[in-house]
Amino acid sequence: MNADQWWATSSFAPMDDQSPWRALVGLVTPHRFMLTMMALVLAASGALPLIGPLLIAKFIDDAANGASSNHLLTLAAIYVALGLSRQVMSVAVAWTASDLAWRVTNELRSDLATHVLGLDLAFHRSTSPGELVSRVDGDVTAVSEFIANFAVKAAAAGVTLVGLIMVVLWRDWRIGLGMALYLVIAVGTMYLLRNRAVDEAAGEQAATGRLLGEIEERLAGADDLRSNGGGSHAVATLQTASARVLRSWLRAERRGVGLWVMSNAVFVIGGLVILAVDAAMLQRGAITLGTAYLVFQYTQILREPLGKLADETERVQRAAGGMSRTIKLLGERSTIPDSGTATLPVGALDLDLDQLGFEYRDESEPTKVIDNLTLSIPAGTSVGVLGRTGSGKTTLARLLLRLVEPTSGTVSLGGVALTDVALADLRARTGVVSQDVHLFAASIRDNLVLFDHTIDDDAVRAALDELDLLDWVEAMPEGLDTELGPGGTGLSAGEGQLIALTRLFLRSPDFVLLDEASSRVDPDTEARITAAIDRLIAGRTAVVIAHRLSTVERLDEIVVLEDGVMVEHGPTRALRADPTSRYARLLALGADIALDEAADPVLDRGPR
Amino acid sequence: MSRRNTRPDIRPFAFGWTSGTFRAGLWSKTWSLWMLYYLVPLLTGWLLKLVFDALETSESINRLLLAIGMAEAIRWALFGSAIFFVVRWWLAAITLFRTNMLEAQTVSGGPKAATLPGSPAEAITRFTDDARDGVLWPDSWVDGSGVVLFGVGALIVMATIDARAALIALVPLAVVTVVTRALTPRLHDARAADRAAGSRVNAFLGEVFSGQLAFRLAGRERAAVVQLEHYTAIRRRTAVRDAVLQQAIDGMSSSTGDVTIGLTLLVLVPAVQSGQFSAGDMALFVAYAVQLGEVPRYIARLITAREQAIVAYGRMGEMVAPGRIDDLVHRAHVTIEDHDTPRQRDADPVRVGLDRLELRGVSAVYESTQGGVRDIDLTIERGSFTVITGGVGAGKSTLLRAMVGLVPMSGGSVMWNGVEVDDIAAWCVPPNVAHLPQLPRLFSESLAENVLLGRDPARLADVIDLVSLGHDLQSMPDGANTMVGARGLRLSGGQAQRVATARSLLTQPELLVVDDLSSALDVATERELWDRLASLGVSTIVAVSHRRLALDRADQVVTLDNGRITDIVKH
Repeated sequence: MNADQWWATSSFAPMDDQSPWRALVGLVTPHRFMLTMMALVLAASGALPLIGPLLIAKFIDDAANGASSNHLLTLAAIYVALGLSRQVMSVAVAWTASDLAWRVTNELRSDLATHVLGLDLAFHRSTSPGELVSRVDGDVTAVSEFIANFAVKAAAAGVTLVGLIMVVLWRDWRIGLGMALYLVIAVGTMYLLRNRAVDEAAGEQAATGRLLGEIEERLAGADDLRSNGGGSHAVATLQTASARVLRSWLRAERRGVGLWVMSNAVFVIGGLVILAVDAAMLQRGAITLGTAYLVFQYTQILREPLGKLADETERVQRAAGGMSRTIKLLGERSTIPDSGTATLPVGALDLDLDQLGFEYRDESEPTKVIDNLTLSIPAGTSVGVLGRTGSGKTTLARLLLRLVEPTSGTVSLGGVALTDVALADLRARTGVVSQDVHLFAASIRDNLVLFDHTIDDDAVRAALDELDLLDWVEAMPEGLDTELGPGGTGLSAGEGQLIALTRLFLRSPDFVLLDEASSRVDPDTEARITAAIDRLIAGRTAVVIAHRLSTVERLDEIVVLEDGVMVEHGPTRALRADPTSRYARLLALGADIALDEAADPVLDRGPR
Repeated sequence: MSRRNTRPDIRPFAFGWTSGTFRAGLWSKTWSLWMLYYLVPLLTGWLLKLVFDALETSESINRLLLAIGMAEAIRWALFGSAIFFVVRWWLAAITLFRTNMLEAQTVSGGPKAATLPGSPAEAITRFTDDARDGVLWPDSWVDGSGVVLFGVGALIVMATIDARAALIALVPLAVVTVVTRALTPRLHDARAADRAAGSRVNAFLGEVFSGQLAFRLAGRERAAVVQLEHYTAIRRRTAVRDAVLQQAIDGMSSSTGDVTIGLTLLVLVPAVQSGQFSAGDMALFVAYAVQLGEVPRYIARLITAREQAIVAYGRMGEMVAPGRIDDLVHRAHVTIEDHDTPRQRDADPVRVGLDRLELRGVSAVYESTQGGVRDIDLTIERGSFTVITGGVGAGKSTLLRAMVGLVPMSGGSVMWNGVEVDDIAAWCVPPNVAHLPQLPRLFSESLAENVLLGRDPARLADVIDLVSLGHDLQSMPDGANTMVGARGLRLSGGQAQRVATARSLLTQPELLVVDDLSSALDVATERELWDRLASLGVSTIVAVSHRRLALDRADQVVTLDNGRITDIVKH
């Protein structure tokens, strides 16, 4: 399956212009069972706080009416059980909600990672890995925190609120209506105050950010400060910046206190008004003392959840922002369309380039990088490509792998144009060893199989054995389990090449592209690499971007590129024999010279 | 079950107390106002009791409602004034830590000088999270004592109404306090595990995206995602565990309140039936019980704050000189309020005219790489121009850095006019010695401030002229007061180098130590600089250079190879 196919079958396929909240609902709804469970737990935990005041009210009224002590003891016991079940339910809510939140967002993370891996070279060159990590994990984590914390608390508060109105309406409809009005005012006030508090904090955060930036700068320049006697000046600037933080913080608090008093006043005044109403209704005998208590207590129990929600409104904005960025990222499309349906013929593949051309068009004057290149390489033949930096080797390699699309002409493998081949089939049948071998901070095994655990150790060992590398791996401290550090520390550049060659061999592709490493390698590793390459290209169609003449000697054919034009092509032996050929002239300079001093990694970078 | 403090030099209570009493006036005001703030609910609870008693007997409650309103208004006023004291105290205390750390990192020599334990970016967390945890600890005493005082008061009031009910209210409180204390370390473990799982997800994503091409070209994108799913599934479990434990602790506040109410009701049934326990008493008990439920959480918070503070003091302690962790809470001069007297920069050392500088058997070796310089014997006469030359890695910069105390000497001595200098880092600063590094650092303040570093601006115009910055200043909006941006990035590389040069020349140092200028200045500008220096009277110069114009002018040329002097040629 290729990247786009997984995409189509994934749980979440947003439209480009979708609202973040709709998208979020779309994410959650497939989890019907968990959602139902959570809804039940939520309903219970939202309703539980309503029961306590009801019990007290009943206790007061029943005691006044001379109820038996058994009856009262039962009420008291229920109250104790209520406290315990509140604890159990709140934990159950946290459990179900966070589990659901992380399940849902983990799916989103997988979808995003899949999608990003399917995007083209241009995207990856314009977006740093660090940025992608923060998009795929950071933004999505904001969403999961929103679900687990804010959304669930809001839902529980909603249940409490609705239940509360219903209970009071049932006790006395007039007080119930009054209570509904009061709650609208309370919730409305909290809503109005919410954004203000966030705005106020922003100024202080900016001042603090500036302060920290200045500290970091001075730590980085500590030597200059020390040797120029600038330490005490640095401390003075730190304090000036801190004074700025203090001023903006105090300014924020001055308004923050007002907001705090306002939101508190809503509850206090509400409680006092209710008490006054209680008194009037009691005197007219319209309600019992228990009901009077119940109604008062109800004005108080919403204070905490509503206050907490107001404190966490920042999460809402963060989640909306995260979701919008996620949707935008999912909207990115690769410029390499995977529209082909053909499969490559079985066995070694012919390589045909037909009037192949590539130019950069984003500049006022188009630059031809590959110019009208026609070439046929029969199946099973190996060809070395020689050329200076800028001769077009890099672009040719990218074209052969369909990492970029030609601006004219076609590349065909086994007689099928690359654009007609499904990308998954193309990737399965072709392989590449790049100069900059990417090694992962993982075991040697994972580095060889690229985390594909469907490949067992026997297959890995067999491949290593065939490349004569088994002794090399087994000499490592933990064999296949040896862990590499970040960036593959623990292995030399040459050993990295060996890993890459084994990676390729494990997949047994029918067309291989090798970008020879130009870095110096110790003789022992060099010998291993040479032997492994010989083993690898035997019987396969191979293109080797060579940086040393000694490499191409062992290949069947040679192509020399100059400014995007093929200036020489022929069997190695014939070219060597012809003293007028460029190859022969290069040989005369010495077999082991590096062809380009500033070696250009063919695949990962390149012109711009 | 609080964890043992394994570092005897970290004394959390002493450090917390010192940072608290650093602004004793603000702290005591904060503390007393918050205490009152936490005690007001005792009063409102009592007033509520009176309200319900009055409702039971159909008396007027208007005055009582007014009293409750007033009590609440007092609470708001307490909050409103306390918060400003807290903010001022908090920022003063956190600035104290930051000041002491930055001072240790930037001071020129002396016993307080320390070096950075890691990268500047990593060290920033010591100025943010660790400094915050260091202040949060004494801050938690304020809230903790307020809540505990309320608890004691509430239990006493409850006991006057019904002693047995008050006694039974202690039971859930004690149980929950113990349970919370037991759960807290597990929560910390769960959180640490969650953070570790989270960073593994992040690290793996980083690997996948930086190695995306390897996966794509091998058609192994699916394998990468499967592995990612393995890590995200682990993180889901750690996150759920963290959330559950957190809620188990947080939720105990409200459930404790309910259990307390239920238990008191159980023992109160006879009193209620006999009419001794009124509806008002009930209202009071419920109001107090709800607040009592908060007590265990605050106690747990105190324990956590102490543990975090020990870690924070340890990490911040790595920023001050080894064995001098008390420097962290040294009562430095902190000026952050409008009425504070501005902090004056420390005076430069007294100028001691240089006749002759001698390096005798100086060695400075980096432990990690064993690179550096060894057995350097060198004499620098007043008015001489010494050029140091040699290949890459020969130790040229290290020698200059050792001469100004930036690299500690592992052997040998430095004699200034024949007298041994005991603290090179403290002595070799302007106006005695100025050092101009190869890649000088600028700071985000004005161009003038970057040159002056707080010194008297009298000679500013002269040095700006001297380094040919005058023309550049004319094109800047605010002249010398133009802000140069973070790390001076608004200036060109050449401008930044010239600002740093002006900085080193400001005091007309007795000795100027200059690292290779060739990457920043073209030949013409460098020649102009040497010419002007001579006319300025800054005549004793040690410079690393390969340029002919410097070698031609040199009185002695010192060649270094592999950390040792191989040749000294005098002209």
